[in-house]
Amino acid sequence: MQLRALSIGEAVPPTNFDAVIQSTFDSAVNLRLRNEDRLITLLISRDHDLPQGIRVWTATLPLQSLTPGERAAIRGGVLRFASTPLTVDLRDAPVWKCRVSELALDMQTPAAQAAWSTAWNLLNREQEHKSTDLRADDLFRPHTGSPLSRRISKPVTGLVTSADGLDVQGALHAAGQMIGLGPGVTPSGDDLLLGFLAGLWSMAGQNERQLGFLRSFGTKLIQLAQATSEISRTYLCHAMQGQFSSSLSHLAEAIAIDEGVEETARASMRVGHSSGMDAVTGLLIGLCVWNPNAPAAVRGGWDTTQSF
Amino acid sequence: MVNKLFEQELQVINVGLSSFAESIQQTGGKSLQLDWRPPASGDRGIGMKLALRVNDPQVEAANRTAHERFLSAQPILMGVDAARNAIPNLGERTLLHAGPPIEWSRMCGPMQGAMIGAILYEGWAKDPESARDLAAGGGLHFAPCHHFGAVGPMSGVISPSMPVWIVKNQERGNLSFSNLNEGLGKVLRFGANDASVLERLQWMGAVLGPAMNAAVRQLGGVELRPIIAQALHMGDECHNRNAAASSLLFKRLTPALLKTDLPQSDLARVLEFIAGNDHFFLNISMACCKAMLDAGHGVAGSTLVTAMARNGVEFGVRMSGTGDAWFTAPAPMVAGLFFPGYSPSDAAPDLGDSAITETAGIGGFAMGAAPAIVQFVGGTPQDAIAYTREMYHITMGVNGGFTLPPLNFDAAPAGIDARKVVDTGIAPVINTGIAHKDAGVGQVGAGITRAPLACFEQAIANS
Amino acid sequence: MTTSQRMIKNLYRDSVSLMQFSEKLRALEGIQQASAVMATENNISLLVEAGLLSGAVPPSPNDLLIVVEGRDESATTTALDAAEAMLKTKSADTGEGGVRRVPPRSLEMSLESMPSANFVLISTPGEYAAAEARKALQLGLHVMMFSDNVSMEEEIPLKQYAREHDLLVMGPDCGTAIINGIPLGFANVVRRGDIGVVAASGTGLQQVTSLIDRFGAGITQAMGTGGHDLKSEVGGITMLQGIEALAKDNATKVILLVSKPPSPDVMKNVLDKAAKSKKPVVVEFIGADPQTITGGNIHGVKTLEDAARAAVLLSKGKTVKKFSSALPARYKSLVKPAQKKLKKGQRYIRGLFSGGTFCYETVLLLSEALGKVYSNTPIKKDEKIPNVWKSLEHTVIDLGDDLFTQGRPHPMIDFRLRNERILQEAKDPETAVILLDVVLGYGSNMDPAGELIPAIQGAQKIAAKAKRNLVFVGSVCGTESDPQNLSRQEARLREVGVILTDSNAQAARLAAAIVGAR
Repeated sequence: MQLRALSIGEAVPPTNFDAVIQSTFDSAVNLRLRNEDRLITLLISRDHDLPQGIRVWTATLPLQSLTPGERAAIRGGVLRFASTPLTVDLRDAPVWKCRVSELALDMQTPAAQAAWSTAWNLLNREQEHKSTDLRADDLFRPHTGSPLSRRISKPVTGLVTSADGLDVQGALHAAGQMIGLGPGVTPSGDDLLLGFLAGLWSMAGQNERQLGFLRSFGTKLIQLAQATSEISRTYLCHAMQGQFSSSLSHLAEAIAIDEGVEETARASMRVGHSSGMDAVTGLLIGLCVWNPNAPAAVRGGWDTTQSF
Repeated sequence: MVNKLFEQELQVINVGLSSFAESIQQTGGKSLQLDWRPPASGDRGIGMKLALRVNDPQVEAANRTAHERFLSAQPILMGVDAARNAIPNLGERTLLHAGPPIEWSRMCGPMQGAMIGAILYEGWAKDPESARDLAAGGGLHFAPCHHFGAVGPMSGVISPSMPVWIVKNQERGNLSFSNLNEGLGKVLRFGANDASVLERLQWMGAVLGPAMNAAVRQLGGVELRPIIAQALHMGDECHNRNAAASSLLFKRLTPALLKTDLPQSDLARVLEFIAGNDHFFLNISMACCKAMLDAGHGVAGSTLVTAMARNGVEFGVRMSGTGDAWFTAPAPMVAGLFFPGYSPSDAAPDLGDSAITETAGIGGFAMGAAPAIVQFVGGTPQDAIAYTREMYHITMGVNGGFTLPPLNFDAAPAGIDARKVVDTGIAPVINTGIAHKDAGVGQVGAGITRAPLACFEQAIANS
Repeated sequence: MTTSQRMIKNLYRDSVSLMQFSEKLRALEGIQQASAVMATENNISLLVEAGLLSGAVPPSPNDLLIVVEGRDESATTTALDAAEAMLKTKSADTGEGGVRRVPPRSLEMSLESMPSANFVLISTPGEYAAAEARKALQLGLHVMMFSDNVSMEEEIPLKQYAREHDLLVMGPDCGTAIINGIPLGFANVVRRGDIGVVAASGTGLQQVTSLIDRFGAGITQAMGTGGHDLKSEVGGITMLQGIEALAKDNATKVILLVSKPPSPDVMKNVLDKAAKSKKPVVVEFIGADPQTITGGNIHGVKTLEDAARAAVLLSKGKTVKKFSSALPARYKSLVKPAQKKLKKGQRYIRGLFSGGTFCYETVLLLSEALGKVYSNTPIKKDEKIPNVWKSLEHTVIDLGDDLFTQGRPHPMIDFRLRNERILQEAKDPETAVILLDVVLGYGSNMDPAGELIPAIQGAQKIAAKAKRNLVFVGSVCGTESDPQNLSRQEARLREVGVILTDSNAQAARLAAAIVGAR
């Protein structure tokens, strides 16, 4: 079966590489690169891009027929697998670049704040509807929510406070309590952290101090990321460089211009089982940092309505 | 990338002397021996043309387009009508036949016999001798079914008055046609043309055809791919084994027929006729495949094979990117088992448009699902599976709509890539019946044959 | 209530099915609570907190930890077994993945079983080699073409395509290469080190790499360019690519180039490229005056041995001075004893070579020392031997020439022709010295000494009958890691009286000295 790549994430190596299949899912295959310790993802999706992704679309490919441990390689611009005749032609595929770090989102504007509130309310409704373990509102209500929620709310608050004060150590301490925590191949704590970083990167723009915080935090966070699964770690490593999935990027962009927020938020929340919602939670919380007008609840950790 | 090579583990494909692999394996490298023979039967010019097309981005892109159109086709059986009404541009004195173009004088025995029968059926001559004179006289137009979007099994003769199935590809709107299957024994397609054949043809035109039309319209059209998919799960391969598909069709048509206002006497004969013919579905299967492949035809630069057809003298192949051109070679003989009383000396060379099924990925390509045919060549069901698996190496992909139970429900290999045929020397396998070389005798055996490599070599040479 | 847990290693399920999976577990008989999470440190402590894990378990973040709480141990064990079975069903037999493993019949088919192949070695008959090479390049693979009889009209477009796509074409008519330490074609097993070689001659490559190994150093890569690469029409594409790659290669400290002198335009480009590499480059254009090449980072040398020596010195950070053309002392002492053995009238050298470059270098050195030297591959046109089957005065024959190899294996494998010729020379009363090359390594005969010794002894018998002695001089090109066991080969040859030098050049000089001043 011969497929054509519809887009390639900017973090995918541009030339020949050798890899081994690390894991297979219904619509994604992760490949571990031979010479670098990171994963590339082949995903079947109409529109979801990843910085480390090669995206194809087909209605009929059962990726489960690929086996972890099998070799894969790119030669002459074509990705091939040892155990099946599947090939993916990468030539002429457009490169997808995450634009989050170029946004310089200004959360001080009424438009952005309105967009934020729309998303926040939508998120909480969805989480309630799906009875997820984590609910955004509960994170800021003491002694409320599931055991997971209660356990994670303290580091989340700590994360917000530390980021506000550009306190790298504090942020790392908080992150350390979140990494690897929760259900899912990408644990909820990781997805929260991912979304949070997306929020910060969206706003930092050219601000040297904020960028400096992000870089220091990011570099040290790589160490902490050893405590979670390889797949989740891959997402975190890209997040540390300001590279996020297209669904998260699009939501940040939508909030920046207050356009299509509902639709984009719904799309982001559909990703995975709770991964999408956890990441959106993290994003929205992240967008409250460095902003004196942000909801007191998020910043201070105590009740009242969650809106600007 | 030269520097990249220095960082990688050396993994060598060895093309030629196998002793070279030794040094590689003994010193820590990996090597794989190619089972090489000169491609394109040793023709260097074609060999280089082939080389330039292997993994060429433009050819790959064209193939993806052609293959996608082929796979996404949704052929629907729309109805039945006389060929002159259904088939666009069919002239009044035109007779269609199976396979690539061929003149009267060179036609094989069964095809000439069928032509005579068709002439008599149309009333253009009174008896076989004058029919023969008419045919040889030059006043009739003979053309391949394929040139008119049609396909016919064995001689595949279609004349203007004959009823034809009309199939439409919903996706792209293209139409395809085939005649109605007469059954076994003394039939037109094997070259028989006596009174019983003509009487049957008359009945088919007057009663069967309109009845089928009414029934199909009653159903609002019949989706064909699901029937084929189901039949493949029931032991058919829809070229040589059509019993399950014919039964499934029978189930759909009967209630519909009962709702039409067909007279009771006609109804009985119609139902008996269909029920008694295990190959009733064959012609429809062929038209379905034709519709799918026509959808993928005509993409510039594509090496998708869109037709394989035989006229009893030559085997012809068409390719998506080379338009109307036929690439022909002498038709091969079929390796198979002969019915009692017959032997290879009685056999006609391979004949018919039915190889359109293999071209689309069923028939011999799905042999793994219908192993009965291998008995005709003294094989086992494992051999049948092996034939199918071999075809994966020369196809562009698989048809997810057609899965094969004995292969763990793997999707059938679909879409022959002419480049791969020439490069590997693996020729497409075809399951087929064997006709007697004399007109009118009928089927004398069945077996397995391969498409001639020369056809695909020429296709590449002209691409 | 009992809690039990099980770790499933490296098994991935996406989150949706993991949630369904947990639900299915909870629904099992006698089960109260069930959880399936990645075994991260934080998850483990959470489970401990929730009372689902009795004690901490060492974290392994890529594994799935299943915990169940149930009525009793039997219920929990059953549940865990069911859980494992549910997870494992996917990886059960899916047949052969739709592909039948027949031996591959085309390059593309080969990639189905070996997708990380990066190299194609082509030794088909020459008329088909270019098409196979083109396919390989279009598939993104590097190529070595052992095949010869490929025209330059075919070679040039291949190399142009390769250059455009940063791929290597070694050949056509490239019999030798060593890539990533793996010998390809007729090649030796050479120590890894920091010298990179690009050579237009197979035996030239074998000689320099073997000597580098003998001198205690090693190579990074040894690339062959094929016999026509340095012609004007081809323009040295592969040699230039080779130099560039070695210049970029961090592991390569010294670059060594070997070939016959290229045409002036190609020579200029090659030397320019070498100069730009910013690494020391040793250039052996066999037969050219080294002084005309030396300058900047480029060191011209005269013989293949000098090339190896220079490269080794440079790799050690030492400076290279001009090498002496004189016979080293240890060989000088062998001259007089050898001369004593000869009768008046025995005055000629008969060189019988299996390696083309060994022959060529020998002709050069002997011409310098002795004047006229006949050969089937002469330096001067008028010294072309009139009859290859009969020696004339000083004669040096390349037995690997097409003339001799039609319908016959190469002399590096099949010694019959050379052995017959040895006996023939022995019968000639004017023969003084028989000069030989012995090439070891993959592709060569597995026991050259064993093949030669009967012929040498036979020759000595023939000479003895006529009350003469023959002097056998030669060199063995190989390394201790070659399959033929270098030391044993050398020892056995010495046992029957062959004088062996380290290198082909010294053997030639020694032979010249023996027949020289008499």
